[in-house]
Amino acid sequence: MTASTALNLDRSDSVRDAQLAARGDAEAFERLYRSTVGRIHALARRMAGPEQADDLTQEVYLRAWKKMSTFRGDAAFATWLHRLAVNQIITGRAAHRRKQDRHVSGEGLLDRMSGRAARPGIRMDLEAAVRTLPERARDVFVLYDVEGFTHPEIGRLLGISTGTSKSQLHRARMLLRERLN
Amino acid sequence: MKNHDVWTDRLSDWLDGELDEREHAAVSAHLEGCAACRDVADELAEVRGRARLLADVEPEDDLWAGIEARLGEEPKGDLVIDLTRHLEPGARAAGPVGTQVQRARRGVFLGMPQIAAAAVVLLLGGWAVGVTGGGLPEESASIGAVAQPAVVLQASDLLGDRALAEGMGELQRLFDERTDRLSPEIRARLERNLALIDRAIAESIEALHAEPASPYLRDHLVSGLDRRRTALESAVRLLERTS
Repeated sequence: MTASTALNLDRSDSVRDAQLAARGDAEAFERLYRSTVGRIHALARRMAGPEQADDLTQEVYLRAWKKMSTFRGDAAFATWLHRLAVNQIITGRAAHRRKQDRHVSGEGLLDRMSGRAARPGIRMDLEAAVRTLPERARDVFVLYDVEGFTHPEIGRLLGISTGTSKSQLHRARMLLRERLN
Repeated sequence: MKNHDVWTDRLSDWLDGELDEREHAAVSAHLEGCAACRDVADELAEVRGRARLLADVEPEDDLWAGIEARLGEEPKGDLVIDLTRHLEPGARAAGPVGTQVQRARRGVFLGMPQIAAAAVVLLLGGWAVGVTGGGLPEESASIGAVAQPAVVLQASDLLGDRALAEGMGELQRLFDERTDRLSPEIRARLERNLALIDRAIAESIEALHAEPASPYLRDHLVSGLDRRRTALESAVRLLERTS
């Protein structure tokens, strides 16, 4: 079996499972979960941090379950889920932050907002370095360089202009370049 | 390094093929003669290349059991209007907002303790936001006759989502249909609270016009819209129980 044949089979399987899940088939939905959770969890970790990743991943799938009827099958299920996941992670992260901000000291808050917790001179792996980026730069970097969204798509997802998306991507790469070296 | 910024600032766009032909050629020509900028470009390319190799990350614990246990839950009240919809182009149609508002009309979401809590919130004006300053906005809502407050329409425009305005409008309509069940005193309090919320939304809109890229201001706007949604939704549910 060629790779492209396997991909097509995977896609037709996921479309069929999505149709079943939309009718309330939890087993079909579990298969969709199993085939996509690694990517969704990674996205949640990178955009919101490891401490929120499990909760946000669960919220993504619960949201997807409730919205299955809106999946029309004209795009890959993974693509549809991914877009939904970005929205859910951004929203969930903001809600979590509002709760945290009531309790976190000012210093901790500043660290999280500016990414200045990074200590210069210490070589870091890329995953760790990404977590130190300012939030907007991190979002754009993850969505563009890791996930493969385009700048116009990122602009729509994050509510920013294409130019801002480009400048935040460059900012992220420059900061990562410094922190990785 | 300062005098190199004019070049390094364009290196990501150069790497990604986002420059027009003339600019791309200009950066390429500069790189041929500038080792410092070439080093930066190489390092940026390395960052980009490493990002593309990042692996998926399975959760350490299997999350499915927790998800499965919650699949049968009724949608919570905070899902009646989805304030994230502006991030999902073209997802309205016969979607969840209409469906869920319809459920709200039947009053199936909340149990009695929650209804009681909602009633307390209504009576105490607990959803009023902490807006400082003087009086109410001139365009504050006259609830009984409201089609849709201007601030909601403006916020929808700013977020690029007509579905948001439609959803909020539907909830407003459900509320308007029931306001004759309210005493004048409670109705006046509701009007005041909604007007305060609208003022906060208006301030967020104004601030976002000045600083459109600010995630904080965007969150603040969404938070204001969420307060308006919560207020109307709680009122609709309470009024259903009193019918």
